[in-house]
Amino acid sequence: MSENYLHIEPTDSTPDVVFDRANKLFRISGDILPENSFDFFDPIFSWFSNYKKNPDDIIVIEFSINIINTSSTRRLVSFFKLLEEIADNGSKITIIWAHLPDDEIMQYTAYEFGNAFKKLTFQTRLK
Amino acid sequence: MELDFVLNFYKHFGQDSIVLLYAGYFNDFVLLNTTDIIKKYDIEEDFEKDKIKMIFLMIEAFQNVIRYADIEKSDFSDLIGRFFLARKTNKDIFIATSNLIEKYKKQDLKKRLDDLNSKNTDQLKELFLEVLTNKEFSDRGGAGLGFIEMRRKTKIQLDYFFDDINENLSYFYFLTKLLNNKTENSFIKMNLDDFKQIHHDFSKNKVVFFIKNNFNEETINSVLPVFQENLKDLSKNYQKLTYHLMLETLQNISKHAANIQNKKDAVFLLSKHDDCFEIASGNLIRKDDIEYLDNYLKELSGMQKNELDIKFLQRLVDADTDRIGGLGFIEIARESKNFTFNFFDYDQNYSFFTFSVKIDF
Repeated sequence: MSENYLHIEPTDSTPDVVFDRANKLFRISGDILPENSFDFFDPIFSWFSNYKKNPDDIIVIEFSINIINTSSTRRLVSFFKLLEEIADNGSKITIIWAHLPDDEIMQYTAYEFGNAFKKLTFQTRLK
Repeated sequence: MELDFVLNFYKHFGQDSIVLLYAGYFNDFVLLNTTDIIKKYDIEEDFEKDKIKMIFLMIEAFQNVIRYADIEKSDFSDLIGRFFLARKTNKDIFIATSNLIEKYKKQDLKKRLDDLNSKNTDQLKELFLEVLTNKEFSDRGGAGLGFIEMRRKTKIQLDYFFDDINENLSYFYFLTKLLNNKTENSFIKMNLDDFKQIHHDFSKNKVVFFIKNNFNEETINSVLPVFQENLKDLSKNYQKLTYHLMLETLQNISKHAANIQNKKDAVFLLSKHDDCFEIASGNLIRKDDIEYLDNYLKELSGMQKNELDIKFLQRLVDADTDRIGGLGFIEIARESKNFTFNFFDYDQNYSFFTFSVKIDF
């Protein structure tokens, strides 16, 4: 982990995470379903809390999540709140939410997040 | 275990395309391997949408048990204290759990579930967003978010029941259903009483895992890891032996169960007794094959270890190895002589073959 780069290797229950400022790549892809979601999210919060001090003007974060449990949904909400704080300081933040065509759950989750976090722009696309 | 138990539950779940039942150690590792079995189920093309929902419900129900079961407060074994069932029957899906909770928690849990059941779609959404964004609930644990989501995703009331077992503890039975089948009377609808009976019957027989599924190599690869947690306290040699015998039993099903409409529908189970593990399987076979298999297993059961070794070597080079239960049964017999089998008449063309092997601790 560095100021400009974070990579978290995926496991069976957690996704691949890449935050790469140099290449403007912010991506979370895979399943998020650990019973204890704190261990997974802590380094992400830690990295973004630092990033918040000097964020990019335009931020695009891609989520490609197959399944997420409610414990992790709660952490994700905290993450979006943190992003809204960054947006308050002038950054334009877009969330690209990719889901499978048959996945009504992920599609609806994006819709609800979009309604709950108006300072972030949510775009869905099919995987 | 009586072998007719295997037959009875093959029949009981007769219309189910997949059944998973688990008791024992509950953690994310077991959960992931259990959901993996569903992920790999690809027999029905129109299942994809509901497969995602089924896995979601499994995760939430299972993780509720991980979080809230008060197993450590009881003198009961893990086998009885935590129990999980997932069924897919035609287009309907049933996820049920049972776990011990301390009695004083009953009222609060009942209040929350009744409250959820009384709410309409909009009220549930409001509650979901409120709980999701409320800092008060942001500590470890779900604060009922899992229940809210199961209620929202299924659009059906959550069923529950408390069964007091002593002055401090109750069983908490929970059932969530995803019902797509409109013809109410044509297919099985599981209710809480059915689930309680299943829990009772399987606990009595000390079953830690039961699966009814189409059996192929993929099924075997996803079934085996589920047991790792239940074997981990035992010696490495014992773990290896149990694994080996489970593998042979599963492969016997995969190779030799009757293939009916492109499915090798069968059951496999593992039970944990005071003095042994017991592996059992049940599958249909063509009546024409009974005589050969019956004679073959009787021959193996009468053989000494050195005779079995010779038989094994002979079989290795025998062109007839693919005949029912070739090498697999010899391998099992070499490791444990404590095996039994039976043939139950099933219908005009098929019999139900049950096989069980015990591995003493």
